[in-house]
Amino acid sequence: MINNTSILWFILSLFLAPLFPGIINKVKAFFGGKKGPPVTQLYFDLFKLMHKSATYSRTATLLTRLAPFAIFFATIGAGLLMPGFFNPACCTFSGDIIFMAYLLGIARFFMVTAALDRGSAFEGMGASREVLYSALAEPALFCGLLVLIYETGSLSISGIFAELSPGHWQQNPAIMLLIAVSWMIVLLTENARIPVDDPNTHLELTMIHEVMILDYSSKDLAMIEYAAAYKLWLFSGLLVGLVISTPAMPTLLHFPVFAAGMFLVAVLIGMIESTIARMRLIHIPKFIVGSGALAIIALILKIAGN
Amino acid sequence: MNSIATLLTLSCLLLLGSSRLRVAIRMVAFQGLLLGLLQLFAVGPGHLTPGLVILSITSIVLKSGLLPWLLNKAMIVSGTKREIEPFISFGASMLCGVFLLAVSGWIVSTLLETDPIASPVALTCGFFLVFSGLLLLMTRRKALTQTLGFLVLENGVFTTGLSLGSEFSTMVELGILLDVFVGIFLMGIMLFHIDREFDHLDADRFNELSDLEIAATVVEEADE
Amino acid sequence: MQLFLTAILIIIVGGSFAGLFGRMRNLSSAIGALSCLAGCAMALVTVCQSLFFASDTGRYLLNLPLGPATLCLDQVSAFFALPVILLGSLAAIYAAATAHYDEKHALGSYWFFYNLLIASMLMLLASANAVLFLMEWEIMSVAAFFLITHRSEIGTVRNAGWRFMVASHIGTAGLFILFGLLSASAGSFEFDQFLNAPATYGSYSTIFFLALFGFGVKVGLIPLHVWLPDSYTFADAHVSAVLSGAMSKMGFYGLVRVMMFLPVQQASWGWTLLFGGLLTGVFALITALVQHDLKKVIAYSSMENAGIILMALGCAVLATIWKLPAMAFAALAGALMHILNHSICKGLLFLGSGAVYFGTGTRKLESMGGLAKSMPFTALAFGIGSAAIAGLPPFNNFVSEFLIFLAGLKATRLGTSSALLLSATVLAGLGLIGGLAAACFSRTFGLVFLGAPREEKQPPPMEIKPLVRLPMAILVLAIFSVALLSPWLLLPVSRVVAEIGAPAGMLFSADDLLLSAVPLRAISAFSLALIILVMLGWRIQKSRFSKGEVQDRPTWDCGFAAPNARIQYTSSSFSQPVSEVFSSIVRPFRHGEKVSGLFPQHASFRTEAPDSLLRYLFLPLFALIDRLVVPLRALQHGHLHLYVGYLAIALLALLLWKVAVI
Repeated sequence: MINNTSILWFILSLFLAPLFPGIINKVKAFFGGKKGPPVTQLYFDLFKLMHKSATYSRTATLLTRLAPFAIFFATIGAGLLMPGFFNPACCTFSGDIIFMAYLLGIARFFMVTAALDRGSAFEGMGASREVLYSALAEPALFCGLLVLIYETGSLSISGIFAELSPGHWQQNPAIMLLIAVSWMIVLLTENARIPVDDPNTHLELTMIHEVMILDYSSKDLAMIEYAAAYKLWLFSGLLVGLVISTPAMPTLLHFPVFAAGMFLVAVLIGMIESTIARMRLIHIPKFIVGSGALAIIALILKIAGN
Repeated sequence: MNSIATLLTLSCLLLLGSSRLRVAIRMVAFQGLLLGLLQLFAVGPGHLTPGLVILSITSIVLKSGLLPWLLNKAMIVSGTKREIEPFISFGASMLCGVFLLAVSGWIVSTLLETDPIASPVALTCGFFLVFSGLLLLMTRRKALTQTLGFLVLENGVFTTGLSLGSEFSTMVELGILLDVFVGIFLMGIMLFHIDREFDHLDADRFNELSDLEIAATVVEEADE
Repeated sequence: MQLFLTAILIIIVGGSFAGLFGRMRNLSSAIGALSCLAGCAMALVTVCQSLFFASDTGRYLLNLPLGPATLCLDQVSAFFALPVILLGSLAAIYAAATAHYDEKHALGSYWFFYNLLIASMLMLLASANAVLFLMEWEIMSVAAFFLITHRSEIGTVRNAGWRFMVASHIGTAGLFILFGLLSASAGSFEFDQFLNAPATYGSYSTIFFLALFGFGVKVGLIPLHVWLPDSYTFADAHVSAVLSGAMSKMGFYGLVRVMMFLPVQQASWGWTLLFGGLLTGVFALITALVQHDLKKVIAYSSMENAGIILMALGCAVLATIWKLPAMAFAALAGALMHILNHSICKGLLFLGSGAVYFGTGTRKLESMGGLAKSMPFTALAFGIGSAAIAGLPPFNNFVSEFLIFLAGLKATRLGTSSALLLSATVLAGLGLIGGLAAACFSRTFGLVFLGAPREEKQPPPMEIKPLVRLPMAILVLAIFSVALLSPWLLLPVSRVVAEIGAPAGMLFSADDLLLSAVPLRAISAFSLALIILVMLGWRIQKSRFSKGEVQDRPTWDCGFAAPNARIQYTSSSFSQPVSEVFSSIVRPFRHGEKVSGLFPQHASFRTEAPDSLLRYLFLPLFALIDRLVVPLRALQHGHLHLYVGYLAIALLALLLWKVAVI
């Protein structure tokens, strides 16, 4: 089903997404007692990158040229399926969140193979870790989704968010809280945030996401950075839709409440990044499996409740 | 009462997945606190007697004060801060725990068909604590974690008792409390003695005690 | 039907002539390939008639020694014939085009057995009689054996062939018992009679589990899969393509057929299929991730996809029991389309691996790298095949996996805990399998084609010739067509699904079709848009915005003074995180010298991961049987007079028994 009115909200999200990393960095700077870069820093970075010319490694093939486009368009395509600003998504159908997860999956596949394209040891490291963590995080996302499908009876993410109401939180606070925590852990994993990966580290041996984009420059890097920011927006949108669920909101309040929710999520991520240390790599699979365990517990509680 | 049971379950899950002994001890202390509160909630706000309140405060002090302090002392004396990799890895323990929770839920749901139960969620939690206590006992290598498993097992038995109906008399509850106290006291003594005799707390080497020849060599080591 | 049988006849006759003219290599290849192509084309006409125009192809009676046997090509058989025809013809072209790479092996018998394999598979699909079915099954297995052991001077090839033979016959033994029970209950060998037969000999569950055992060996169900990796690895590339793309699908065909004979389904069957499929898929992927042989990785991936199809069939069985037609439709449609999609992708991957072997002379992942520069077409085709088989949009495997996800989601309509368990298993299990498959194939593709060459090859790798590229190009086209045309392909698939569901009493309405078709339309629209946008973006960037581009800088090496191709990530290192997490199942051997000293000069590290089930289950089991049977060796002492004594005693005993009975 196509919703034409949601295209405006979609375009708005395209413009607002680069603010997200800016807010997170501002919060981190606040915790560090610094002033920090301006909130609109990513816009300036993207603008600067668009005017540079590209440098490619001599080992790179056509894949390195194609990958940024694939990543960019796949992530934006996933945005078309995501409900935002308390409106249904531009395109909804049964099982659309699975398609969304797999669109992000093809973006990841291109990222990983392009990382191997350049024949660098570090990028291979990042690639091998990325594929494991995302393989473990996907079941957690889907288990949480399953609980919500049972709660609301709709098979499409827009339908789920339209049906969710504060009543669900009142009736089953434990279940919803477990799903929220589980999805937060999935957000941190998929977007390479602490405690899974440190976006500010300079040691290639420890990087997961940052190291795979080491050899990109100019417009390619701009597309990939934008896609990373947009992916963060998508996952935060999932959280906001889950937590703030009021179906009967007057249209005037859609933008402020959603924006406030996203702002709060960004602040929360910034706080987590500032207060927790990055985990040792051998403990990360256990952490992600833990989020899956939380989702499964929510599932068990749901069935026990029936 | 349901929310306390849920918190108990989650603390047990964290216990299964954590490799740091300090966190594990803290979780067991937290469980002790929750159980004390559960006692009060199980009876209901209308039937609170001073004796019951004193009992619950005593159990809180014992289970989340004294015992964790003993365990902390044992941890410091033995010098181990972290659990080494158990027989099934931590992630697998967590998933086993979730599977055991599902099994307990299924058991409770079949029990519900025959007889009504006062609080099915608490009963599920009780079974889950018993199973995960057993899992900890079976799969961990350090004697300290096995002690914690024993404690979780006792907590589970206690919760099961509470959830089946608060008609339990004070005597039985005191008996259970004494059981726990004596067990832990003994384990504490054993831990300290074990520590002094063998110089490490790896429980999977306990089986060396069974062989007479090896016992002789161990005595020689202690002499040096 | 006449056309179909004529096609089979042409293939066999062509194969025999190719066998006769074995000395003249080019002529032999030409006759073999052309007869195969002609036969496949004719069979395709019949198949399309049946699938797209829903016409009944009629029956034919064949006179066999044990009685007349019916030959009938219904919708189900026609659908399963698609992979056979597609891969059979394309692999024949590939084989003919690459025959000159290998001068020393005999070609005549090779073509004979190849054509025999294709013909027997087509005949298998047309058989509606148990005896004929089993005959064709045996011929198929024997032909496959001879094809696998083509290079019989290599020890590992002989071992693989031997393992294939043993496993295949154990499975066929199960099938003999199965069809024996069915025919005894029905009183005849005809498939038509099996449906209405009461379960007098052996309950329905016995029959189902026998079928699962017998056909599971062919499909690669855990733990019956142990023959699969070696056989697919050591056979030639195009033979592997046909084996994994067509022959294993015959196993699914048999399973579906037997399920169509059983009017009443049981929940335990569905759960066995579901969990068996899940375990197969996960085990296959984590074993694939630690292999170092290119074709072995692809072989394990066949097993993984077989697991997915089994999960879908399990969902279908449970949906039938719970009376959810929408779910059953999605599950069956997903299973069928996955069978077709997997054949296409797997065929492409195996043909690509053959091209890599011809270019580099090795199958070891550790010696490859950077082949995209010297073999661009193969790289492109293999890359598309890898992304496709990982189940990613915009390619075809995603469409069928999505249908299976949809079936799992539709189970939520029921609020029972078993429905919830099914949904959770499908969603979490398929999600995990999808993630691991993406890991496995990004590793394979990256190690073989990307980066810099890990070993210098003399002579340098050369791209394959245009004729060899043709089958791969056709398969790439097939991937895109199925992916983009999937909503329209649902219509013939729905007819096949209706035919499968009819014996169990499942009636599907047009709504069920629509419920599955609507998401697929959105998915194909998105896929098309993604492909067009990426291509467009890349061309525009290349033509307009590439001023000042520098193309020959070294890769960032963090200040390391002398980077070379050896600092790249290797196959063991890429899979290390995954093998750590699943170390209890995979258990690789680690051989390595410990690095010591301030400036270590020499160090090496190697991992090896033989199949865990083979290592821990079957080899000890067979060793045990060996030890138990050794005392019987005493009977084989070689004394001739004692052997004559055995004969005499046996004759005397038989005579006395006959006399005593009378």
